[in-house]
Amino acid sequence: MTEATSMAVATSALAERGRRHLGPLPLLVVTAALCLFLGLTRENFFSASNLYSLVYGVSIECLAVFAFTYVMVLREIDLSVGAVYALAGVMSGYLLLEGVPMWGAITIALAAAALVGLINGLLVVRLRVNSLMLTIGTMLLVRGLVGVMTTTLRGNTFPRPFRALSREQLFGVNVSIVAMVVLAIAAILFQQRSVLFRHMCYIGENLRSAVIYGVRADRIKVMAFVASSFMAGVAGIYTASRITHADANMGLGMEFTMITAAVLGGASLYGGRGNAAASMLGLFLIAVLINGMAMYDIEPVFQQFVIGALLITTVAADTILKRRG
Amino acid sequence: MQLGSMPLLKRWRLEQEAITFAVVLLLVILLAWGSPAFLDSNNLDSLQTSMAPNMIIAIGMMVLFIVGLFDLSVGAVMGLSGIITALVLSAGYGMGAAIACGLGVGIGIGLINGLLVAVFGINHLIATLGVMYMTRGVIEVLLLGAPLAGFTSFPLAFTMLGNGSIVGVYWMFLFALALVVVGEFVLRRTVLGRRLYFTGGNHDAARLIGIDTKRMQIGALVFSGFMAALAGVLVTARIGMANRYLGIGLEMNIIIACLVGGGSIAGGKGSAIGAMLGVAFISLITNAFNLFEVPSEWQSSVIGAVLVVVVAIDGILLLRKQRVSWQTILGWRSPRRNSATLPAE
Repeated sequence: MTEATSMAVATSALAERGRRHLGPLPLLVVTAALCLFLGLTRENFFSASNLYSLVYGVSIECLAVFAFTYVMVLREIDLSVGAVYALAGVMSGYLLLEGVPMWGAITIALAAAALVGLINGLLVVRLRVNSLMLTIGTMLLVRGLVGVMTTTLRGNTFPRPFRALSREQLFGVNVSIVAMVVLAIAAILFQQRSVLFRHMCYIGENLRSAVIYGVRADRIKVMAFVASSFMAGVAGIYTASRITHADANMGLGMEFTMITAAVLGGASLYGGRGNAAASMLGLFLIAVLINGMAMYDIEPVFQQFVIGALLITTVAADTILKRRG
Repeated sequence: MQLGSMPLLKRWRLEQEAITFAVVLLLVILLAWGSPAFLDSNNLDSLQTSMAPNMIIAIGMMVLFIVGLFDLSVGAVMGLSGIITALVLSAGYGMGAAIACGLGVGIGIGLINGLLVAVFGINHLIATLGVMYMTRGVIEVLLLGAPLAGFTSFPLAFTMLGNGSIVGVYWMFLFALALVVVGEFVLRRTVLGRRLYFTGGNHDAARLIGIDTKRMQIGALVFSGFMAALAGVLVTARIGMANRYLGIGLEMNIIIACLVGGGSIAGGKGSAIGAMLGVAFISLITNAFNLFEVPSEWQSSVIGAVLVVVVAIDGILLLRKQRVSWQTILGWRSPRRNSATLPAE
């Protein structure tokens, strides 16, 4: 336990210190070192099945963290991702059992997810409300709907074609892994090449001057919120297909894993920077950490503690860096 | 405007509290009219005993709102302090020692929050959230392997703290009301109260006129931890056992109650009376769900919707104060033409 925690603390601090100049390299080194450590001390860590299930699990969350990071770049936050993730998953299952054809159900569920994002985005840009409080509200609202639908479903298993979705393979691996790689490459290209990303950084750095210089901040923000909810919805449907039944606790606390991962990957709560590909790496670090704790037979109750500590440490490092820079 | 010519509610800064009061009154009338069980003594008992701890926590949270912060760890602190009190009691120590330990836990965690936020400058959402996770972890570790309803043998004097009543009114409830009165007095009539409002109203200006804003923030977080612990001790006395699920998800209800009762995320605004009314509102809504037998899954939705509406109204009021026209707020006119709608610094 102490090993894992102190390691996490040391690693994240290290990752933060060098980041300004080295980009996500320290995070990569730390993740690799942790993997190596686990691989050397536990024989089954490097087994193909363990690694594959690790990557597979992370790849689904990566879909959601992609757009989530860009919301953070804009100096907003979307705490409703976990609830929307559950909503899309449970809702598509609900519609399927109501007899809606599969692709229809998926489309409706994704539209519902995007609608939540649209509401978040419009309220944030029109009424200038604090996105933190607002998305806590939408989170509770959506969670309630998820609860109602799960109670109606009573643990029914979803139909076979829907369950088969998550077993779909491409190039010999699950589709979500391919999607993760594609998204990571797209993120890197987007961050290096596109004007839109630079505008997003301006908005996060200084909204007022960005608006004065003609950046369409409102439109970009609404788009980012919609994208964040939509991607969470995609991940949720995929997960629902994977776990084969409706679970009210799906995605509980996911928003905080996302924040931790994004900050590990170089995003800041104060906006203006972020790297979706590195956020995915951050998710890997968290997943490896949890995996390692399981391998060392550490009580699962400690996981909460470690994630809490990791969250505080990364954000503390982010804050101190920000003050110095 | 001359102070004397202002309407009374405005002069006392109780406008939003008055609206909340009206809504609460309306709810009471509707419930009394719609459900015969509402005025039943059982229902009134459970209303009082569920409101009292929440009111106590809400006073602490409202002070935080006033200095421009909030605390997500209150639910977990409440749980931990209740469990510590129960553990110390069952270890054979006296009641005073047990309560002191429980309250000490709250003060300690509040101090950690305060140091993280004011000294290290960590965003208060993240700091208190991380502390919440860690406190919940500690609770699980402490009760590892313990039976669900462990530690039930408390001395009579301790259980009386939570169950004693006089002509149908619980002591606990009277105590909470007294705290509201004291809190309101301190906020309105003392230098300390003034400083709290200044700290939240304009942080930089407050520092420039010589207020130690860091100490105000630490103090407010310690106070909120203390109040949460106090509530935890009282609830443990009321239910008569250590409960590891105590206070889960409570922080959101308290924050919503404070927003409904006139607090603002931006800081510098709020009152103890508002905290009380906000808690009354949330408790009555929950009570209505139970009385009308609405499935409990809907509760979260309704509370979330209330939060969204309150946050939206807060935003609209702020924009109207900056004299932004309704057309711009609702998006009928392009905002980019109008310099008044540029976001504030």
